Amino acid sequence: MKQERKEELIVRWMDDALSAAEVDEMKVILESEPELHELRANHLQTREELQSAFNEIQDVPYGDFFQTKLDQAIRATETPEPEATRSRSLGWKNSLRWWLAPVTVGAMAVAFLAGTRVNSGGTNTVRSIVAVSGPIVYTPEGGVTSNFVDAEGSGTSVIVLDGLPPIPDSFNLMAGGKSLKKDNSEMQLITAKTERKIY
Amino acid sequence: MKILAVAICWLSLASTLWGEDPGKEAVARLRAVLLFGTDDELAEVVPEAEVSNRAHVDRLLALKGLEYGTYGLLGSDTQPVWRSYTNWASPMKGSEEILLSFEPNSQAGAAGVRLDLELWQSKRKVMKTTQSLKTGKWLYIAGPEWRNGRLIVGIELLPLEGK
Repeated sequence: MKQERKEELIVRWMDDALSAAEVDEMKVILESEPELHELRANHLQTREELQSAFNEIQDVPYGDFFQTKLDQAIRATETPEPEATRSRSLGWKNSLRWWLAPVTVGAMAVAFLAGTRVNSGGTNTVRSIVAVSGPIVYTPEGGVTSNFVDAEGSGTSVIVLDGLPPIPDSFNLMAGGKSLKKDNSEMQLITAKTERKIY
Repeated sequence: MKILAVAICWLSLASTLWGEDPGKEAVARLRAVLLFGTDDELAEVVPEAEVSNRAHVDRLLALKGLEYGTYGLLGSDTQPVWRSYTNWASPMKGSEEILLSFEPNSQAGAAGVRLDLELWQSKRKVMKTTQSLKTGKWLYIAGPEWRNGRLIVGIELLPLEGK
């Protein structure tokens, strides 16, 4: 028996797809190679495990409805637009193009006139100032939250910052901590000199 | 000779301009204190610290979340508030662990001034805000934990000396 024929028979035997004549041929093979029974048993077990691990194929809910809509959409894109409709659309767009320039110029003129009227108010122009209630506390560090508490009556207020990295206990703040200067000289801490000329 | 004369002129001009810089004018003073709230024995945790005065204790006990058994005073610093420059206060003298920067955000008046405040911890900015400070009223900032307690920065606006 040729090797190719033998392999084909074994594969079909594994899948229970042998005809009656092929079963007789397979018996001859099995007599010479009985270990194929064990391979087939393992193959069947693996197939059962795979089938049990995956869900059965299910139909898509409302499949007919979606299929109908898809078919309609495809037909609509394939159907050429009537010539009359296209020409009407182009005509409308052409007329819009002719109207666009004068309308734009008119709008600019109106905006210019409005601007001159507003500026003519001089120093009497009233500017609205939006009052923001409560201070805004910005914490750049991630994970840091702030809470503002104003003790009514006493005038005392507090900003509670939670989530700041704790200072190691080994730091002796009374001795200057890690930034202690050896010569104990005055620190020059002025770093920003951006003058404000707003007021 | 000419070069020396030009240099002297430039130096005198620069010193004159700096001396007349209105932004460097002090408009108020700011006192920053560093307090340490703890429920342990202050003498054991920070032996060198003195106990804070009663006024701080009363104010802090009235604020929810900052109630501690003892409040220690770790340091204090008073700096001028310049009209348009940023100034810094370091309540722990000789340490840059906790720093406070401040700059006016409004015209300073008799009642107070609005300040841009920044709190720095370990040379990193951890908070920025704008607060209206009134003379004699305290603003506290509850900061990081330390030795099973909490560091609290107290800020008070003071009038200029002699006013």
